[in-house]
Amino acid sequence: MVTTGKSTIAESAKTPVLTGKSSLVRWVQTVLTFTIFLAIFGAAVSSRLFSVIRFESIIHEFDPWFNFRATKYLVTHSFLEFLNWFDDRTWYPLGRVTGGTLYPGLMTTSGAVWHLLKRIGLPVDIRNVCVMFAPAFSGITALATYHFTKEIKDSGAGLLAAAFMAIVPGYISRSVAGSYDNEAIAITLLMVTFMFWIKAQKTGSILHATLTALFYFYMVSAWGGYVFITNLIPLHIFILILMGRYNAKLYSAYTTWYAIGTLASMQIPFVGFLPIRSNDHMAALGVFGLLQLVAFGHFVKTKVSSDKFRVVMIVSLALILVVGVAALFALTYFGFIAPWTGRFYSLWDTNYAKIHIPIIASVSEHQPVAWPAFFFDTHFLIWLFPAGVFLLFLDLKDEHVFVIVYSVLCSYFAGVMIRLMLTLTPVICVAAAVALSKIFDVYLDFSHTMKNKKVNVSNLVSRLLVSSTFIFYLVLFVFHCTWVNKMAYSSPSVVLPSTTYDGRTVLIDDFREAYYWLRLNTEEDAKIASWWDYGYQIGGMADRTTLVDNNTWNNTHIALVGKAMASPEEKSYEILKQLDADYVLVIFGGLLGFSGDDVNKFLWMVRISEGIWPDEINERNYFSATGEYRVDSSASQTMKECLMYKMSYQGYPELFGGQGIDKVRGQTILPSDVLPLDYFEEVFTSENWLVRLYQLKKEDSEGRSLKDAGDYERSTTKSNKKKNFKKPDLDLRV
Amino acid sequence: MVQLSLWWLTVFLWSLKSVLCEQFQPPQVWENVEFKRLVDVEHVYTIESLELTIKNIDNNANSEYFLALPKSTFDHLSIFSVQLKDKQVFIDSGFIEQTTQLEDGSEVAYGIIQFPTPIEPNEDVVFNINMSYNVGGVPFPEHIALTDEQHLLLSTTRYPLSAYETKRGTTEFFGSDDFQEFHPAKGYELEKRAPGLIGTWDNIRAFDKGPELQVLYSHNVPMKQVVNLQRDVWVSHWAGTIQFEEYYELLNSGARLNKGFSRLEHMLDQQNMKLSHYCGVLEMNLPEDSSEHYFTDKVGMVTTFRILGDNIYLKPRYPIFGGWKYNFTTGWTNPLTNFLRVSEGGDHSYIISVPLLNGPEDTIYDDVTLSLYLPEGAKVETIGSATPSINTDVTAQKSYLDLNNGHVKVTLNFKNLIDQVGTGELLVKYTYDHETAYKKPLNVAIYIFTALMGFFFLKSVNLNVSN
Amino acid sequence: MTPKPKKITKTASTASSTANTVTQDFKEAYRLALKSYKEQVSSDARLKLIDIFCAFLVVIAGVQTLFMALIRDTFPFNAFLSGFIICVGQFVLLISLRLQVQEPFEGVPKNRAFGEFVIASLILHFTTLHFIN
Repeated sequence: MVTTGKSTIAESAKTPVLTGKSSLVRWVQTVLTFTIFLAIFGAAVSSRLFSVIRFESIIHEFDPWFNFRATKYLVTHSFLEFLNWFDDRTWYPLGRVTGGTLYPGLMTTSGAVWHLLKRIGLPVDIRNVCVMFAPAFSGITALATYHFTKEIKDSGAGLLAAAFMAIVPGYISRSVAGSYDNEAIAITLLMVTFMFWIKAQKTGSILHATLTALFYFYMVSAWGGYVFITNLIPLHIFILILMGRYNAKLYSAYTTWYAIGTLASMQIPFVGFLPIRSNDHMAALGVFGLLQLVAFGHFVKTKVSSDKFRVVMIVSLALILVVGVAALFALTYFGFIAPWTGRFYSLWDTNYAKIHIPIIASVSEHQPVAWPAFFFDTHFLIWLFPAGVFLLFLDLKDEHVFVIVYSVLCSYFAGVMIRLMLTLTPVICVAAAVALSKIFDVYLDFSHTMKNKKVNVSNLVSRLLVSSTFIFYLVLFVFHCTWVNKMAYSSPSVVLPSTTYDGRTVLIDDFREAYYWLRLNTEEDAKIASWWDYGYQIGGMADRTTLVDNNTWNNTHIALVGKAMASPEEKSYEILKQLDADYVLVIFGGLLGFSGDDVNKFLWMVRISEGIWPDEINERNYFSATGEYRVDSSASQTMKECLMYKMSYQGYPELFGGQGIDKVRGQTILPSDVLPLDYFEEVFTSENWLVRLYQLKKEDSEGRSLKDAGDYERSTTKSNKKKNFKKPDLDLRV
Repeated sequence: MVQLSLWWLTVFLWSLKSVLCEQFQPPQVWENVEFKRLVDVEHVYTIESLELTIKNIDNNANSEYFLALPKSTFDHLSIFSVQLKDKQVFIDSGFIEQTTQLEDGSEVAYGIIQFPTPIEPNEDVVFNINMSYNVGGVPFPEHIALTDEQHLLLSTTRYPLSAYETKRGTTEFFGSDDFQEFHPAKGYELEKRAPGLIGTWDNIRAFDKGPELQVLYSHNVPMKQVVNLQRDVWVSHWAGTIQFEEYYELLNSGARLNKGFSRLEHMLDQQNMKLSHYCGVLEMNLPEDSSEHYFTDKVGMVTTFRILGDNIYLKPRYPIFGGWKYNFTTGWTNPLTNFLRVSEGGDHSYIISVPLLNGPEDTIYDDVTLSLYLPEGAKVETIGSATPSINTDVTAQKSYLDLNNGHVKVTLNFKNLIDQVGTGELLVKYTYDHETAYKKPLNVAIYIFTALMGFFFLKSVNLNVSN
Repeated sequence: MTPKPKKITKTASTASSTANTVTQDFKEAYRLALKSYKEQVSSDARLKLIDIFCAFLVVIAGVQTLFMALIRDTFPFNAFLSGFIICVGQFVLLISLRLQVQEPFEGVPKNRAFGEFVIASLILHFTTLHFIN
């Protein structure tokens, strides 16, 4: 992989030099371009296969499991059934109108690919289609980036951008094999849409604008981030108008795109009438209207003297602006247009989510990005990026404005939400490629030096120095990318790699162990209560009904589960009985040192339920007397009594003979800290205690409360049970 | 004990659906001089060997002996073979459709034994019957603690059951360290007995079962029951390989846990390093030279398996306790030459022989579907199986790059198998000539070429449209 | 573009009735625009055709809105919406075509522009049909 990537970049750097006019040169150029594309495609796919090679062909993380499940549903049912799919196996007892609340683009595409492959005699397992989906599409993204950059600068820059795009970690992070998420296809579509938009905007061709609209539609069907396009393109037009660069091409490109694109986007059930109702889409409509006026104004302008025209224009504009803004406010006020959504607000005010919607803030990918992440994800492209943008400023053609607007907007967004790093990455690649190809244009051009017999040594040395430095950076970049992809972005997070004392690599497979146990050894209609993070995985792997999942559409329901986890057993039992849950699943990382466990997420559960029942749940009560978050003897009584704590540590100190060391929090838990569990019974715990499953006990046959029954049992067996556990020497796979 | 040359007969209920209670009385022409019944309970299935000395008490020479079998045994019969004691020959045996209803309401079915030569009046003959059936003891008590020892309770007839009068009958058990007789009437009181032997009785009337017998014995190993096995064998002449893929639906039919599974107790118990009633590892014996092993289930790969020699040790995701299920798929590849013989005559015909099972030891199989996939275009001539199948089918199955009819699929269904019949073989004779062999890559090439041409054609059309 | 000038000038002129000069300017602009428009149309029959079609679309869109306002119900909202949007969509497509007929963009000859227009319209109609159910 490394060598492929290196040669790719080196070759692409040479291409602009070959600008001879003879047919032979052109032919060589075509072949070379083709080879480079193959190499780029190969690099893009192979650098994403680390996880398959190191682990296996498996769906990663959380959301992809839902997409995978939906895809399986799609290929086993008809498309119509898929669109009308009401899923009663999630969000029990509410259910979810899945068909109407998902972006079907991803599933439809992979379903189509699966059918196509089957038709041509390749009956591949649908899982493999889904796993390989993102790498395959990343190759297409590279191609689209090439064409995009080609329109911006030239094909040399295009090849560079394509190569960057193929291996840049910022994009790979969301498109490794197995990362079967909406983003996997969305970035491809984003680039294709932009590519066609640039073409449409440049030529004014209706066909290109129509293609933009079609791909826009495809994008709408695939990812909620389509709103980005919906606003970026109008903004581009708006700025061009402000710059006085209106021309007929813009009119034809934009209006065609808007008319077809908006109409088409309303076909997606989840989007529905949003394009004319929500504020997110109003900018596009406004620019559409504005463009009509400007077009008319333009027409008038050519006929009327400029002085008079100015007066007419200013008065009309002022009027229209007033009327327009007033109408917008009125419509929003009367509820015709939905106000901006929470996620949107959190884009502007980073603290908004933390205060108002803890559930959004609790998602790690909605956190603001840490600055080193920029370098980590894009390496040296990040400092070429401003240079590229600056170079574009110097030239400032219409299409350059687009890239500039794109980069400014996205830089801000990426700084706010780490997830949006993904939309920034393409423009970083493009701008950096522009900058780098400019450098190479100047410094790698030895034709001048060769023609002159007299060799200018200092000139040559400086040229060599500069270009070799950059080539060195390119090589370094390839190594960096390989390293990052291998180390950071290739873990399925379902399986955890670990090494034993003797240095062998072992896979910790507790999640699947527990999920598979659930799948085979519980009733088909068993309801599992767990924190929402694991909802999709339980649905996908354990095939059991869940109460809440990663869709997080109903905050109250999630808060209810959070409340059950944060309340004392009696209360939790009541809540869970009401929800008709049969099992409770908690993730406990104490034995392994897995820090993403439920005890660490517990404060979010408390916060989210506090938002709804502030008088019953109070975050303060879960901290120790000194105001710390502790789980050992100094933990507060509320903490020790809550269900989550009891379930996590049940039996844990005894494993170590009385001194349970929680490796995540580095605290020691004593048997006396862990109160007995009367309303729930442990039914399964995975090999490394990562997943613990409890069943709700049946009501006591003698009519006692379960606590009384438990107390009675303990008092009678106390004398027998007094024997101490010896400190065992366990061979734990840690 | 089991050899290839052995000749097994297995019976299947569905083929013998008896018309409701057609009372059948075997002619009383025999008398059991001695009837020794040895019951081996070491495995999850039961093996019975019957040693019979019979005498013809009729006036004529007779050659048909009817062996009475309780219906419950008969329904789960896996192996049934009859052997003359002195000559070490297997003799003809079969089953009849008729049954007899006894006074206590139970049904008796019959095996029929055909002696090679008729037995003259008053003449004795000694023979052995070996049979295995997929029922055995049931866990007792049904729920036990994780650290408890598992006991099974086997209900059977006290006297050896026969359709004829028996002069001397013996019932003996073996296969466990600890046998006790269980009397539910006596308020769960257990009666200690000498290991194994239950008793010898004289002059037992025909169809007399004696007082009900319940034997309780220790059986502290998992009771592996494969509810369903789908065994696929792919033959590839091009690659010269034979690929096995087996999908198991495994159940431990042993005693259930009396409360939820506690990992803590299990970890402490594991340190004792003794056998227990949960199933932690499955050992399978594979054919020689196997390679490319894998072990997966419905949520992906299971990395915990080892290969030692020709054995593969599969560690399931979780220990399988009583009542727990585990489904998995395992597979491996062998060189084809070990299984394929080219028949003489040069008419491109081949004989392939594959073992029926490769599963773990001490296992019963309720349903087995064995599918053999021959290359596309092969013609099946004969199919032979050591154990009779209920159903044999030749269909087609499309696989990778099968653009025409697909692979030829030979499917056999079995019921009530035990691991011991696994060494028996399935023999399939088929022809597969060179023309068919080359047809496939040629077809694929043609299709790719057509696709490319189509692509170029479309491309040129597309340009015309936009102009 | 026929109906547009009237509407805008009217609103503008009523709003700025106090400033006499502004009204004057508007009047002149209106007059000039109309004049050159008439010239344009009379010189090319195709433009005339396009403009009539445009006017027709505006009328249809108006009728639909009026109907909706009269029955005071937007019930099959998608039907109304698709009916309305197809008018607007076809209108802007026509205008785009008109601009190109008047003055072809570089790299897009008139014939090609017409072909593209046909494709785009077909797609628009297809989506509308799909949307209308």
